[in-house]
Amino acid sequence: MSEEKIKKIKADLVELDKLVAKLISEVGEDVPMLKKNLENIMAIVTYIKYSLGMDVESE
Amino acid sequence: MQEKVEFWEPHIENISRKELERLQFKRLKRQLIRVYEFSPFYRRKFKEAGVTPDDLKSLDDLRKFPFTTKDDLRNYAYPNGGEFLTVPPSELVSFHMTSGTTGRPTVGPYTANDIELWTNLMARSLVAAGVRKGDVMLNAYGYGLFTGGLGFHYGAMRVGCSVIPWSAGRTEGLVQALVDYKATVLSSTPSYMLYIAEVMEKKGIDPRQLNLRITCPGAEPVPAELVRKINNLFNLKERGGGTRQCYGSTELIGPGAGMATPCIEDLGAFQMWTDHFYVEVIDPDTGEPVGEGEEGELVITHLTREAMPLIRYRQRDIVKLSYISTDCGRDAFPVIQIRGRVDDVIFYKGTKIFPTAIQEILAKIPEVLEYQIVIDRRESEHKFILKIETPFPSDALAQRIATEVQLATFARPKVEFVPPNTLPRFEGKAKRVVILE
Repeated sequence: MSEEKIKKIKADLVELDKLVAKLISEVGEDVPMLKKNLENIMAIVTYIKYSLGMDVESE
Repeated sequence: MQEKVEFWEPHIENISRKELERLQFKRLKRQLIRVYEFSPFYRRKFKEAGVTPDDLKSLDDLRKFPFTTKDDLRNYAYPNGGEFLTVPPSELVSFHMTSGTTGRPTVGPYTANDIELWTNLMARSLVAAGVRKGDVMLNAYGYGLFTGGLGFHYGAMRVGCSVIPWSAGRTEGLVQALVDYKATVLSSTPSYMLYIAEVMEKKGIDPRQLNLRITCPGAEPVPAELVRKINNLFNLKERGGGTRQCYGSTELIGPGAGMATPCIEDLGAFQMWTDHFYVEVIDPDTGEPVGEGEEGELVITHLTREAMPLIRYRQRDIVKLSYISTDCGRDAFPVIQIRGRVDDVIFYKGTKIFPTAIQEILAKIPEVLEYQIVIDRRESEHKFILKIETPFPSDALAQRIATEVQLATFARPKVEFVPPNTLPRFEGKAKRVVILE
């Protein structure tokens, strides 16, 4: 995969991360299914960020 | 047949060593801050040692920080992570633990992020080993508190394999499942692989006729001779596969901390995923680092684990670490050979005997079906006995075994032959040392 494409994916992942975090805060505790599944999506996003080295890019 | 090299996450697996060190430093710094802030155990330990995360200015500075030992885990981590936890207990989604045969069990608690990390590291390991989407894996590691079963299960499903979650035991049924499902991958302890082949031969089924292409032994040392033996038993090379050992432990995360690629399986070695586990090799007596390629104790620091990160954990494995360049890539990740375990060392008449040295010798001798090391200390004159199970006992074989073992261990055993099928077989971790006191 080209550097340019990776850069684009990283930018989209940052947006995805923000979106999932926003959804988690919005659903609160009312619908456990939504909260737990969104948290699982967040765990997957967290690993992808590790894999792409995004966790250390801002440090 | 040449295997095609594939990567689960090529961007990180093909990172340069320099880039990897930069990544390690940033993650290490962050992890030290995390444990200092949230783990009462590490805050206390760091204060006693007079260090803070600010003292880490380079990777080598990690040596200023104190070691963590198995006793620390037994005393301060049981049952749910205790003083080691860096998250609220409500964030934990799972636990694994050791059997506790030598004391209180050692626990491994996981957050959702830890499970995701483990799943991906197992997937990375399996792909590095040559496992692919569409493979049928019979997983004969124990499911339950032991990490082997679920670790392989998570990773293989993520890769896209069909997993048969057999666990260990019911070996005759397992053999039938290998045949019926046309399993292409077998994961279990190496001892159990040998036993499975033995049961097949007794049933009149040739293990070489199975569809197996890859085996993933682990949870015990897998020296080069054992790799060759398993390859031959199941005819793996003919199908373009081989025997790729997996490394891990409950304390690390489970299996998936390291894996052999096709390029290094013949070394009886694996590559360690040091973007998530920072490694040091030290002299077990002095705690000082040893040089590349020298034997020493493996020390691990979690760089990304969340629930219970460990800093400078003494793994008790005696290893040799080196960096080599191969056609399988991943050159930034160290190649590690296990030479033995500190805990397994047998003290006999002033000599240290590593059971793995004996295992390596006996794996080369086809007449040996099984063996047991007996140290008899019941009388003032201690005895070192090697029970050898073979259908072909002879004085020449006894002499050969005694001499080769003496050359490797500096202690000459008394070789006693026993008939086939008399020594114990193992579905889980093998226990071939008996101490009589």
